[in-house]
Amino acid sequence: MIELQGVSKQFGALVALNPIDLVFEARKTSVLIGPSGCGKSTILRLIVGLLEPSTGRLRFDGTIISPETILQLRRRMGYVIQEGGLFPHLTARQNILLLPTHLGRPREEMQARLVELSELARLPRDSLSRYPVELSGGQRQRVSLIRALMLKPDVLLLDEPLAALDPMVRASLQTELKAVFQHLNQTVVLVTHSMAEAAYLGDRIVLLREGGIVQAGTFGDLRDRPADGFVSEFINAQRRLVVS
Amino acid sequence: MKLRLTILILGAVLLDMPAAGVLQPVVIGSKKFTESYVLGEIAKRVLEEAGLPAEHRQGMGGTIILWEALTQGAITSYPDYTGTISEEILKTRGPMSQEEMSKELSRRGIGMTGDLGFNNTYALVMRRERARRLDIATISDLRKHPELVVGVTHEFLRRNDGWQPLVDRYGLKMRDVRGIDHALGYVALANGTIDLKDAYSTDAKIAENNLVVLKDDLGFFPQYRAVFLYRLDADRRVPAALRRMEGTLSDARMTQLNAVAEQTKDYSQAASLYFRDAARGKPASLASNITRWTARHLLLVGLSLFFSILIGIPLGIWASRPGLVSQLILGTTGLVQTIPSLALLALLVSIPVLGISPVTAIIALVLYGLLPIVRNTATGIQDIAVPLRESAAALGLEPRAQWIRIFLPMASRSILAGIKTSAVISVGTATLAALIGAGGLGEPILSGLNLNDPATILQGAIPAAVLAFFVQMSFDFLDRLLIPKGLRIGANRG
Ligand SMILES: Nc1ncnc2c1ncn2[C@@H]1O[C@H](COP(=O)(O)OP(=O)(O)OP(=O)(O)O)[C@@H](O)[C@H]1O
Ligand SMILES: [Mg+2]
Repeated sequence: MIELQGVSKQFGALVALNPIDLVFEARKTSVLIGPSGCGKSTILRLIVGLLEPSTGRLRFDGTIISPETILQLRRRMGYVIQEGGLFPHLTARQNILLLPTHLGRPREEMQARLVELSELARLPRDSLSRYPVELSGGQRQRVSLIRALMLKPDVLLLDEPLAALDPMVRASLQTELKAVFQHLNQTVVLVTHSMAEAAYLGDRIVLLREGGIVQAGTFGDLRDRPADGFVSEFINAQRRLVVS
Repeated sequence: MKLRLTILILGAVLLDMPAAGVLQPVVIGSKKFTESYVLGEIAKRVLEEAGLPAEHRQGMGGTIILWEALTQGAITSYPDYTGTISEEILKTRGPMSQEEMSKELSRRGIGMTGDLGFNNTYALVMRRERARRLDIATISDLRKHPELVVGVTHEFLRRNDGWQPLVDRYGLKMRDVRGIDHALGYVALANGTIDLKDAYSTDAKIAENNLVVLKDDLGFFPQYRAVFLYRLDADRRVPAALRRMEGTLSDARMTQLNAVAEQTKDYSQAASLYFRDAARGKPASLASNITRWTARHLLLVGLSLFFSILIGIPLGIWASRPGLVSQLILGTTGLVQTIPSLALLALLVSIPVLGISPVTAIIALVLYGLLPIVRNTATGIQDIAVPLRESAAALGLEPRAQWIRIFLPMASRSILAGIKTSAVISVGTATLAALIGAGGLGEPILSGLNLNDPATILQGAIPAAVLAFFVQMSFDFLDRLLIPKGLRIGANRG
């Protein structure tokens, strides 16, 4: 679905991403994980075209991602960030319907889709007419998720969507996310800090360190056949946190 | 369809005709110099006010051409001067009264109005403060000052009613007399190279350069009193209307109209000034005056605010991106604001194409109102958090839609605050517009200051204050209407 070939990114002298090759498969949930500053967000931002690669190229469903193609491609992606990225001057419903309305999609069809997704994401109906400041953090992320899914995107890109939430809300949203992904048979690329979240949601986990890929595989692969000491250290560090 | 339209228009035109059924407009001619243009324009308006359609053929030529056009019927009327009529048209020797002139002209089928009130003759002029210091008010006073340097036009040096006969008549003994070009002579007067020069008594340059006309106390210069000549076979309402101008223009008044005409290059505007002040002569009620001033003031503020917004928001958007251009835009608009408003007006007036006109006032107000709008637009946009900007792009909105649907609405609170500031400033600054004849509430303030009359000042000052308050209030109301509710709730909580 998404293919990175020799993609690297530099900000001036700082190398955020070394040249990497990476494929995100269709209908699978891929998780990007690693220490802070290792380049996870950079990869998502390259895919959604907020950054241009310093070298290499990215393909989306066979099309090279470039300034010329990006507008159309973005409409086939859903992008959710940590704070939700909801526009404060629009109600939840207006946020969700912003792009469909702009593109002139049929009203009834979109209304039906909105109802379907609200149920799937367990968003209370009355919150749709509220402004972002009037919503809780969990509700904001649900709205943001619904907005990203409205046009049935080929890929859902999630950059730490649950990081800012308290543990209870976080746990219930994790369950709902999994249900939504399975129900919609959705291709997902998810960035997270939590190995537990990665293990729970991810079909495939990509562990990054200082702008490079350390190991990619299922959670079982990483746990049972770690490529080097860093991998097991990373997994164990999180486990120790849970135990202590 | 087309035919019906034509009939409709024709019908409308015919209905508009005066009962007497004058189909031809009255044609007014004028000579090729400022004062004649202005008089022609005034006459045209006077006729129109009397219900006579009129046309003004500007600057047709000199005396002979205008006289021929009049006697042959190409024009109905034109302005001329008694001195010219007696010397160039009737070619009489010796002085002639206006009655005799009128009688003489009527034998040629031409009528003459009474004089308009001013005398545009030759005159000697000096710098005002120099004349005061030397205590010179009349030409006779010059006898005591043979040391003064005289610079007169070459024509004046030679004329029968020029320098030499004048010296003989008054017994002057100037030692240093030079011939100098007319325009250069004003420069020489200003920098003190010469002390005395010849001029036409209603020349705009006299007021502009702060000169005084020395009184011709022995009556040496012939009278050049302005009158209108007209065909005696013209509609009787034509002379009746023209006669309304008799005695309405003093020397000072005509000089002022000439000055406005030269600065604005707009004769109809000078003519308007004539009518405005004529109207002021009639007593108007205080309420109607204040209404008129306020309406005018609102027009000035409204127009300038409109253009400030039209220019300011795009400039603000441009200035919201970091970089040299942004600094340049913010720096320049900021600089304009540091110029005192009076100085800004003065600077603009000195630009020849602008001069003294309401347009200049509006330009000054626009420039003045720009900064708050530009700066608030720029900061309003810059304050939008990066994740939200990126979300707008990542959503798949094209740049234009991002601006219209996201960025501008999000910056609306800040932009509107800038517009409000600009409007309130503009209400205050617009009182200065009266300085250059643009009207508004500054008019009573200025004349009150000139007359040292607090009551008149208050007639402008109080409505201006009320207006500023009202503008502020209505913007607070607009806030509620224009700023998206989500932003208002956010701000109240934050
Ligand atoms: N616009 C930018 N300009 C300069 N440096 C940047 C920019 N964006 C990211 N970086 C740098 O690139 C590196 C990778 O950043 P990235 O945001 O991808 O990290 P991350 O893995 O998402 O980290 P975190 O888990 O903290 O979000 C970091 O060192 C960061 O400081
Ligand atoms: Mg990140």
